[in-house]
Amino acid sequence: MLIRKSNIMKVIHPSAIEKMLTLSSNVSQSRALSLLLRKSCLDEKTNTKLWCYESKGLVHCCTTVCNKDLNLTNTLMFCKFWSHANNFTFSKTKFLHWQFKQATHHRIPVHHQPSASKHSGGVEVDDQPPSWLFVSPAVAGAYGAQVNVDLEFDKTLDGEAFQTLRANVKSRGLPLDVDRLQKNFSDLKQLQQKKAALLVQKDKLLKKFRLMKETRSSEDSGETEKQLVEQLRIVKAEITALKSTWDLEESVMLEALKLPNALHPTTPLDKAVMLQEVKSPTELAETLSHVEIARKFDLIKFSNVGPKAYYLKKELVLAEMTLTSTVCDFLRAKGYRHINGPEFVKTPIIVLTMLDPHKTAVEPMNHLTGVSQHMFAAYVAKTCIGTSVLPLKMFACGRNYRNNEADLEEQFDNNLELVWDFLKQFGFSLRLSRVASRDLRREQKRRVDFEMYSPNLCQYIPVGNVSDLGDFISRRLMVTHNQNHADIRTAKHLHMVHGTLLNITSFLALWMEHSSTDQEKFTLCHLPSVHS
Amino acid sequence: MLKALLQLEQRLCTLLRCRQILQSKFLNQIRIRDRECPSRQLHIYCRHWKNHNAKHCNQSLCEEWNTTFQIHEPELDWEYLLDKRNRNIIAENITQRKGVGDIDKVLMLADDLMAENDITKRKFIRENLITEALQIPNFSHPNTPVGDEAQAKEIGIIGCKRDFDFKPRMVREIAGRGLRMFRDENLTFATGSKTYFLEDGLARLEQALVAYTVERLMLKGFELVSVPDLLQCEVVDGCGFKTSTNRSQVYRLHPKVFTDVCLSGTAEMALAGYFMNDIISHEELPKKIMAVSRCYRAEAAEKAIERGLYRVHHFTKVEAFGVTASEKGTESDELLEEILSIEKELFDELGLYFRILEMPTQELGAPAHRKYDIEAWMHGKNIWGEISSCSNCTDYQSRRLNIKYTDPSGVQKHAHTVNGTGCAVPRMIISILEQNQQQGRKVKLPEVLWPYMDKDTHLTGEGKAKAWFTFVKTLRRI
Repeated sequence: MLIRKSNIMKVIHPSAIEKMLTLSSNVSQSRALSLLLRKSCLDEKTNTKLWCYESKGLVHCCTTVCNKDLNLTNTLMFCKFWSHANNFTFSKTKFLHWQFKQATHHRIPVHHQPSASKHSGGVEVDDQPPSWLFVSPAVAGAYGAQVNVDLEFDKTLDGEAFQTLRANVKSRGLPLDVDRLQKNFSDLKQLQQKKAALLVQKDKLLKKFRLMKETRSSEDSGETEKQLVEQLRIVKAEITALKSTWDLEESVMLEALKLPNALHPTTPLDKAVMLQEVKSPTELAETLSHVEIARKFDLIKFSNVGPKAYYLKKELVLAEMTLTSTVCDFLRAKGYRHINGPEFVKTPIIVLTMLDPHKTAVEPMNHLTGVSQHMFAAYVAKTCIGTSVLPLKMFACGRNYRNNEADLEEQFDNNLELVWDFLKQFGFSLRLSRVASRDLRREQKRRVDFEMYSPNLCQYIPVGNVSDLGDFISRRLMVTHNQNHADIRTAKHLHMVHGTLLNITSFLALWMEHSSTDQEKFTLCHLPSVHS
Repeated sequence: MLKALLQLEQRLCTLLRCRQILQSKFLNQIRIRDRECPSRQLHIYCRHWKNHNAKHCNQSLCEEWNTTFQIHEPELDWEYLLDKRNRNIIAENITQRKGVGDIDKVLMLADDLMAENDITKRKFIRENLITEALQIPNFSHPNTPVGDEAQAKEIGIIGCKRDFDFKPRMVREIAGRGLRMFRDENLTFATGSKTYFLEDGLARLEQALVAYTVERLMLKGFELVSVPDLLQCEVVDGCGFKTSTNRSQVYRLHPKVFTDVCLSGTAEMALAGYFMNDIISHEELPKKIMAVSRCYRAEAAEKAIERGLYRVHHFTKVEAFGVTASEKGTESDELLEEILSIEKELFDELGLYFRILEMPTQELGAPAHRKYDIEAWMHGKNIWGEISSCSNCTDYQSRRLNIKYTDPSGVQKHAHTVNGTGCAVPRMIISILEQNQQQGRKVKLPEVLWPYMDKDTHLTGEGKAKAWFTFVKTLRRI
């Protein structure tokens, strides 16, 4: 079924595909940071299908390549594709065939280098390409690029911006060598310029050559022609030699994809800063923990039928349902769009937030994420959104929302206010703190945590947060917006704000601890009704 | 004699197994960052607990979590199974079902076991014997029709079929292009095929359906609990769902992340796990319990007719589950009839046109003793589509998961289990949308759902822009 869908099967013999698969599956990878699903029915055959299916992406890649209108532009990948097309004029099938040959005979060894993927300890997983977002043109025939990553290197790896980036990486404590990246990038740029110059030169020589053939008159033209052919041969050889840019480009891109989002000026560098605090009017003395309360009144059944499994019972499960619907109603009233989608995503989505994409174990490429920013990223991936619907506000089960660039500051503050106002209504001690750069996740520019007081632990527990993701995700997943959403060429990248309004389970535990346990029967303490 | 021998073997095996488990260090190797874990809420809390407040760090929090999962050896009805006089009855039952299981092999292995003296060989034979015996399906109810799908007995049709003065559309068209509340296109890259997003009105309808079902079931005496999604494979196997076959419906977590952990395909698995190793007093029976859960299914078949919402990888479901005694032998059948009548009532109140089928032997699967399916008419495809089912598993699950009760005289016996679907959201949405569709971009909601939908009586796509985004294939700049 899957194979039939893919045009590539028409040109490439199955045995060749098999060879390709064995080559590319040698890339062994490492530790998994997320939970992975695996269809237990996955066998070798399915695996083959999978790869062929992935190669479907190639079909659209090459239609682009064959498009003569294409111009040299700011995305590296596209320069690359374009330069292939420049040398040859292909029909779709011919191009595929050629690319496949390149891949098998010339470039596959790139994937044999496990150097970038050797990590000590943890899980090793097979069958994984070096990156799910960037695919080297050298092997694009095996599994086509599905997204065009646009990382704005010219801006970020130059001048003052580069110094900021270096400071950013340092303050987050990430083990990245930005200097080497910059050097590689400038090398790559030089090579590309050189190549462009050579191509121009080749064109000139060709023109001259044709002209000479047309006006073949004088006797010594034979000599000049020989010289010209020789020059042309040299230039062509030089261009061919420059194909080494593929390796360099791959190393630059793989490294660059690990770069973190820019830091927001308000993010503190070393210690979290408390922004606001409200104290509950009635401060409770130390109470029982929620686990003790649960045991005393038989409210939760902890079990080992699954990893960290628990069953909420009686009043708690009702409270959980009520909280969910309260939060949903609250956000709906604030004009957020309720969406409910898959809780698992494919690898290209999950790698966005991983420190190292290679640490993701992959088989049929499903990652269980729950309701998270990944769900939203998956929803908007590869779309161009009409500017009229921005800011696009969405939520899932009362946990997440997002919107756009123009009034990002305002949106961030609005969301902050929204969550703060919502949580304040419960009347428990609450504080708001700005997270230090070291504790930020790679994709976050800044984050503000909401923490509620636990009388049992005598400390604050995070129950919600708002984070600013900038255009980090949209640059990697082709999320764009435009006045006319069908006009993709002039589209700009979206900015996103994501947050958790209420961690219902943590809140339930805190709510239990705030309730009185003196009576025979347990009842959760009364909460003031929530206003939208 | 044989029984005593088996018991001795059993004890030895348990001992060996305990040692194996103690020696395996896989638990220590697995460290998952809490922020990546789907059930992370409690982890985060746990971490704070441990890091910041050592004085409170008593073991009680994770006592159950810290003990290694261990399933009791299944207590099959050996006396009956190994009695050669019953061979023909069992063999006939196997042929009537889908032919899975081999009683002759079981009997042969039992004979081998008796004849063998070598301990290691005995152990091997014994393991084989148990594996083979586990394959033997449950007995069918005397009233169950024999044969394949076509033999299903229609018990009744409820409601009446609506006539449309226009060509009825399929759910994808109504919800997608019509209401603009459903998306299943261009998701292969991000979340894979057979995944979908419900938006806006449909997301609310999902909540409304769940709330409606939970409320009605509560009135009928079902207790609500929340259930975990990640379960040990043995629990899932014990419920009669096969996790290790090539065509398994169950998603398995990557073995290098968690060994032998599956994603729950229905709340029935977690609810059966809830009662696992429990001994319930007969006075507390029947236990009636329900849960709302996300269900994940690998679903390999891809028929054109099942496109859209019909067969999907993930959905929300309300599941009812019951544990009964088996004193008279009819308690579980009574509960099954009760669940069926509740289901009938639920769908009738929603104004659906549906039929009830008593499923034939080949459609029962291994665990069910008797099973009813409820199928609603789906106008878009012109088919009866299953929206719910309920089955009586008698002691099939309880023998595998060690669910017991004490009878009035204090003797421990295996309980019976019954389960039924209260509401499988995507299929309910198909039935409601297709049966209540109107000309234009409008769908009338069933009256019982109005209170749960902020008193909205219709879902409408009128006045909405055609589309607010375009799918991007490639990004290129001029």
